[in-house]
Amino acid sequence: MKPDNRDEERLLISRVQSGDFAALEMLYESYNRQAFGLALRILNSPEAAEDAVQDVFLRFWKTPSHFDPQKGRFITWLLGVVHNQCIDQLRRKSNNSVSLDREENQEHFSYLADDGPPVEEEVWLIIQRGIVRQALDKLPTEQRRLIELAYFKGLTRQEIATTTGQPLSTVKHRIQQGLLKLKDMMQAMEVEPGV
Amino acid sequence: MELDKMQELIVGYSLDILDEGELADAQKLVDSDPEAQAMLLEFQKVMGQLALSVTPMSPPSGSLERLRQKAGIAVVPALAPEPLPLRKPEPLPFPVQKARKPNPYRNWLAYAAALVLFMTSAIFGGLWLDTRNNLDQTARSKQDILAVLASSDMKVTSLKPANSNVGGTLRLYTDPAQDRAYVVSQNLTALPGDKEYEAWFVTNDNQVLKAGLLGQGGSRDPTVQALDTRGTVENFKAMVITIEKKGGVEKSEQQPVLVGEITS
Repeated sequence: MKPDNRDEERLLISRVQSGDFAALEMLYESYNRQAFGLALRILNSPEAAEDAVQDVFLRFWKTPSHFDPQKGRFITWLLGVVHNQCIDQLRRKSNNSVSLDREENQEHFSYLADDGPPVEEEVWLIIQRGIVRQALDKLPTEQRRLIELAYFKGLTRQEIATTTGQPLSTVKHRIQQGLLKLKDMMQAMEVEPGV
Repeated sequence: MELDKMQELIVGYSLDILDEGELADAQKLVDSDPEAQAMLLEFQKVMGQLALSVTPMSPPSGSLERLRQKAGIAVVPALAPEPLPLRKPEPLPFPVQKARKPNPYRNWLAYAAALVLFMTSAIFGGLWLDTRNNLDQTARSKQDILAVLASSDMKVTSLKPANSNVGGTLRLYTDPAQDRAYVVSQNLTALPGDKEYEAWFVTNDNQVLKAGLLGQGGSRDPTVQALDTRGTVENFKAMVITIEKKGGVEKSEQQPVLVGEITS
């Protein structure tokens, strides 16, 4: 299935709503890599990441009405729910130390990265990812770092201020400016609307 | 509330990084203010994009089986493996343009001859090799495209219409590290049968180099095509698209219909 084929996606979702587990499997096979990559980035544990992604899929299986196709793409909804689930989990373990090096722990799992993933389900996501990364690369380093601490580590602004040693007002300003720039750049680079 | 303060709260709300007091303020704002609601929607889109920036990874093997087990779905035992039949290459999700070859089977005589040949055992070996070559070529195309798209040095250039008669989406992906370039086109205005889109690179010293033919447009599906980079991608500053006679020309005298500056 091509992720940009929304008719086919809607059909699969309606099949899930009617209790067809094979349709859920097809959605899982299409999107589990993107969702697992995100969960692994946040949780740093392949087992925990897989559990988080599967929990989200199983909740969707039990209550498919949680996703409303009118509000956007399935992948966007899925990644949003996976992100929330992982951040909640991370915050529950808030006594764990936080690493500021975003790549540090990922290296341990580099064996899981696909050297040659199939293009069929991936090309649309790859194109979008290239655009987003390009936008992120254009942000000032500190703005990007603070946004990543918030988004991928689940730190609040106060926690970021404490962790980085920056004044809270600076943290607020940098995150706000960074996200504004990101929004403008993505619009300028024509990231598909409704993503 | 001042716009800046509202923006600060909405940014914090969409990232879920507010402290309790601020969270209550933001929630009140989102519940009551349409401007805040619209702003939240925009930042939530950015959040969705951030999730897409992460490299996809495969979960540990057996993931689908574990999902089935958790859902209480019975797993059908695998049948004894059978020898795999010779498979045709799987089609790509988008048309990748290939060099045009004359069709050798233009009439029924040719089909009949092909059938006879097909039934000749000596040909089986040739067919097998041909299929293997096609499979290898398909795999190579996939890898080439992925290598460029996934490259950290990749540049994306959106070409803009320079002519109101031509529309559609055309993005150029260049990878200076590998001197490779691809275009993804979609919904380009369909051209008459005797015309074709042709791509050209403009170098930093204003030379115009042929980059490849892009077909006649009209496809609703994205079409990915490799370009002839003819040198160092770093030296290219722009790409222009012209409409030429079918088969292309060595030197264009047409006005560009799509243009894009390759920014560093």
